[in-house]
Amino acid sequence: MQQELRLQWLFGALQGVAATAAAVVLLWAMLPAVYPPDAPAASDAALVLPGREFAAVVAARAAAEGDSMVVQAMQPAERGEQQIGEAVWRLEQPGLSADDLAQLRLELEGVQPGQEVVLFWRSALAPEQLHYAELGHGPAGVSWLNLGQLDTWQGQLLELAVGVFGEPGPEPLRLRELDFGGYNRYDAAQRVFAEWRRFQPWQQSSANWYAGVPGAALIRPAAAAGLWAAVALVLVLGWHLWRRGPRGTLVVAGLWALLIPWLALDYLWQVQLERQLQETRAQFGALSQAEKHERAIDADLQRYALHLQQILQPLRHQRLFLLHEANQGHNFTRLRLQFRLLPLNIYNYGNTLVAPEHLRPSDLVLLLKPVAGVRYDPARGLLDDGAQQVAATLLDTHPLGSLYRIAEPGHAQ
Amino acid sequence: MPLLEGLHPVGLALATLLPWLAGCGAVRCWLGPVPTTLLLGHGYLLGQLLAVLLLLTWDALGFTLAWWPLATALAAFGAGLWALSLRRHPAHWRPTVCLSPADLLWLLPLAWFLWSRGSVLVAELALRPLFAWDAWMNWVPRAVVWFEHGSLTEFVLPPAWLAAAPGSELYTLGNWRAGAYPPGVPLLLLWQMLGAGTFDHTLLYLPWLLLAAACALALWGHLRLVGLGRVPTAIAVYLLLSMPLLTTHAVLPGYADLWLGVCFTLGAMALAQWQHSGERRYAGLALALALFCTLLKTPGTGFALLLVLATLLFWWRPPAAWVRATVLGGLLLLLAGLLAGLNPELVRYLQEQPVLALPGHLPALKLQLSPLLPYLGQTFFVYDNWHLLGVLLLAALLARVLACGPASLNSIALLLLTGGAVVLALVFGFTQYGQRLEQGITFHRSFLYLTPLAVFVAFACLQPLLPRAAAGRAQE
Repeated sequence: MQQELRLQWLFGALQGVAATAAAVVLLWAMLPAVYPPDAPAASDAALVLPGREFAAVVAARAAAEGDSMVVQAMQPAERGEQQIGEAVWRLEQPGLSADDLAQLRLELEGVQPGQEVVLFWRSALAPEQLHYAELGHGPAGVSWLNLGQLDTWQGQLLELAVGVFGEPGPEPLRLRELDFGGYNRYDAAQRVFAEWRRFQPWQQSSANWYAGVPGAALIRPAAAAGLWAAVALVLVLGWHLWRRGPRGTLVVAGLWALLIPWLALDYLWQVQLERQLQETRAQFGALSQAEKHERAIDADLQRYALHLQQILQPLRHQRLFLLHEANQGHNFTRLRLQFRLLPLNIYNYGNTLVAPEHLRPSDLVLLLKPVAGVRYDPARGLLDDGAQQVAATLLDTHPLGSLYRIAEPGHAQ
Repeated sequence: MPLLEGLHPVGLALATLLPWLAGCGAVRCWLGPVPTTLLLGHGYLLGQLLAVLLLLTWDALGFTLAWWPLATALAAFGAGLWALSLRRHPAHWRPTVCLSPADLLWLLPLAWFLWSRGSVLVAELALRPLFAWDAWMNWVPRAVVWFEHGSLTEFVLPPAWLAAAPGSELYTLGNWRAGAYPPGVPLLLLWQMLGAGTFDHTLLYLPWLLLAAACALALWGHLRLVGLGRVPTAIAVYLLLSMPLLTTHAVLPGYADLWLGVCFTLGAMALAQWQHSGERRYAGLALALALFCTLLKTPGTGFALLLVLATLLFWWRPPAAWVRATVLGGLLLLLAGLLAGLNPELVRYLQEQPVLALPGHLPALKLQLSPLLPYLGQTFFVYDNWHLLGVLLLAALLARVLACGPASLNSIALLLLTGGAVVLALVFGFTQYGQRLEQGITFHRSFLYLTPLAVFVAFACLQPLLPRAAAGRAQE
């Protein structure tokens, strides 16, 4: 009996493994189904543009190294209130027709998580207009883009450029090459696996869903694995119907036909987790709690909150009205500051003063910049939001905001 | 050591272990000797419930929330439960788990997975400060305020805060309704904060990782009790713990979804065990977990109601055909809900219906049809939220029905899974919450309430179809 059971499990496992292997062969044959619509077949000679043919037109320091063009230091720039780096490589008059080029493969090393990689082009159809498309960045610096699906990818190309934007990383940016080609199974498989290994650090959306791959992809890993499992299950069922084996063996085979694709998916997830841990260690490793806060994305808000809490220590039981221009939905800055100010008692709504009947003497008002509609007149000691004026004393002013204490309830103008 | 700076490690260890021990004592006292995995899995959830109830009672009696008196009270209560349990069911210390060399075939891969995944998750949780949005917006702030005040200061909605009389210390949050959310998660965090002596430390969120472990232990115990062999049970545990969105909620802690999902799942598995063994005391366990569901999230009331209704249904012992009909009816209702949102006429009709007011702080419901089916396909077959759980569940259900006939639908766990799915379909397919489908916020993670149970249901379906030896009582 035991022997028979063991044989059922063994044969079931063998059948399941064989079915998943056969399913891989079938899926390989079906791979052209993931190509974009109207995708041309690969030509024998793909067009390759080595990096040294590009000029590094935006960079603090750049030089050619072998076939590559290396930006050793990005050009400093400002985006809003953030300091970022920029690097752009440009090729003028490439002598190419966009209509002949369906797929782009970019080899660009040194790109950090959080940086954006963008393809720019101008065509003879609209010479003054600069078009762009964002590329994801995959492992080993390889990323792909379907050009045929871009509406403005048409006509004779006048200019082609690649740009990287974001917080500078420690490594130089090395543009190795741009390849243009059609679609064949080998390239498609390479592309699919490269896309699946793209890394995206934790986002606020991470708790809401996990798409399996950041950005667009020829086919998502879960869909591919589901298809793999479904084909394998069908093969298992077909074999059982043909050979009429024991039911137990069929179920074991089905379990393996599902488990192997599951393991493959989970391997990708494990790789993401391990890469994420590397990033987390680099950011927070061997630090105390206070030191970790200094490295977080809201470090400036935390410093401001500490500053306010020191001022407000004697006034901890007063109510505080936090005003900020972003009045709809959930705004990160105002909500995060409220969290950092706990246990202060905060009303965190609106960009204007509340109705006079809700204000009390000694209430505090924090104008977290920007707050366009509320002004303070220091000469008269009045906060004015256009609908009412409230007598208030300025307690503190800071680059991120200003703090006031209500003297007496206001009156409408 | 930077990691332990700023907290009391002994206090934190006690905060983690005392509820667990007390919970295990409660389980053993109520159910008698049970397999260790079941004891630990249910014990963890019950222990957290005991801690939450202790804090509520302590505050209601007017005492200051201070660590050592609270810990002493829980330790004394836990000791009393163990004493009672051992008096009723004396322990016989003997090895209960027999492993053979062949068991290494499943034990080694599972152990390797638990080590490789677990070590990454523990390190990530220990290193990264509180990150997830809803955690610091909705759930953690109350715990921080209560910790600082030493009492459960009342949180109200913004209009009530504005209208409050001078001198009344009411708080409100930056998310309009968050002040009215159930207090369970902030309270179990408060317990950790009191033990650790701080409100600001990464290790306070260990319960989220331990919750996943408790779910896995309970899943193992229940699957073994229904007769599933060790190999498929090990596979089930691996599948549960490997799901990305479940992992994410364990390692980016602070949300309440995983708590509700595990609580509902353990309650459903307890009822399934009642159905399997005839032991009615499992119903009591399910009802305790139903109570915990109501303390965790607003939707928890709905899931608690499902557990209570299922308990009453089973107590009544209707004919099996009625249960099958209910399950089938639920599945058809679910299908109707999924298809209805694709019909423009029906969409227009429902939009003309008035708003449905709900009592208390519950938000009003506006009937509104949404095309749910594509998003359902997205969450289970396109996105990688649950790996291949959708394929597993469909295949297992189909295999069971084809092999064993409609009688196989007579399962309380399947009834609860269907009921939960109908609830989610109604909320997202028939109300204004369908507007969030395109954003993806809330919808995908709502299935955390059901996916752990789905793993149990799938493997319970497969259990009679797999090759197995003569039935023996599961010891582990």
